[in-house]
Amino acid sequence: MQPDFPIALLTLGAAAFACRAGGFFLMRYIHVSPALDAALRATPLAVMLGIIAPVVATGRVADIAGIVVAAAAVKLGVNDILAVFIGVAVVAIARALGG
Amino acid sequence: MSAFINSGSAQLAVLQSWSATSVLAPAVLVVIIANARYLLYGAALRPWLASLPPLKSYGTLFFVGDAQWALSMLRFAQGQLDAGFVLGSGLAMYLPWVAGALIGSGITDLIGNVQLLALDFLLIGFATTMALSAWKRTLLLPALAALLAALICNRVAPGGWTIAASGMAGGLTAFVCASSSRAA
Repeated sequence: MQPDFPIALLTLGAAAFACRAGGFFLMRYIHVSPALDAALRATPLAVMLGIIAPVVATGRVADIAGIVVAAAAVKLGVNDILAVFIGVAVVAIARALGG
Repeated sequence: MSAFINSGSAQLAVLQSWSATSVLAPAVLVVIIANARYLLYGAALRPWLASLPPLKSYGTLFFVGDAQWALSMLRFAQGQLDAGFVLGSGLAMYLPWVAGALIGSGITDLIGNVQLLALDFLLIGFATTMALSAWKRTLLLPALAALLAALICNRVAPGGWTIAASGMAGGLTAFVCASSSRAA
């Protein structure tokens, strides 16, 4: 380990925290209008889609199968967490089969 | 590293860029890029955490993570008003995260290939179930905009920007929709 590693670690940690606190801090000086409120409400779904879309774009059959199965499980009323693990199992099996 | 940065995507990206050079500045930039989406998360949590004293609200923000933030926002939309939920669920993610890193650094040889066990699919799986719970018909346009932004950004600049781009595209579209529907 390099001697300056702790300093680097703290710097990186500070940068990560600045991102977390930054948005929260800025909003203090911005009035939350109904339109802005709508925007903030739409972000969770948008962000989740931003996580999923690149995976689908890779075209990896195993991962896409996992997403489809997990989504289907939720639609069938399976508990969310269980659905995720079912998805993980599908991906693992599909990858083992060479998907 | 896991204890201080608490962000998987940022840590992965940093480790990749750091193995190429040991200069600090690029690594800091990578953390900021990978964590740009937290600007959105923090902004979205503002109405909920604003009533808390600064030490509590900023302390809570340290523990915010992707899936946990989405879960918190869902609960907030459902009328859960106790800000303690954000901190509680944040800690519930953080403690196993650090513990997992400690255990993982000890036994990676035993587990072998994480990809083969598909553990990297956990976040994607959670994103899928969260997206389904967050889905509303009124969010169709923002969702399409987010998808488009994600796919374009993923082509042009894959990595940390994709999530920030889709989040902003979705938010911006909802903003415009809400403004025009009020004007009409």
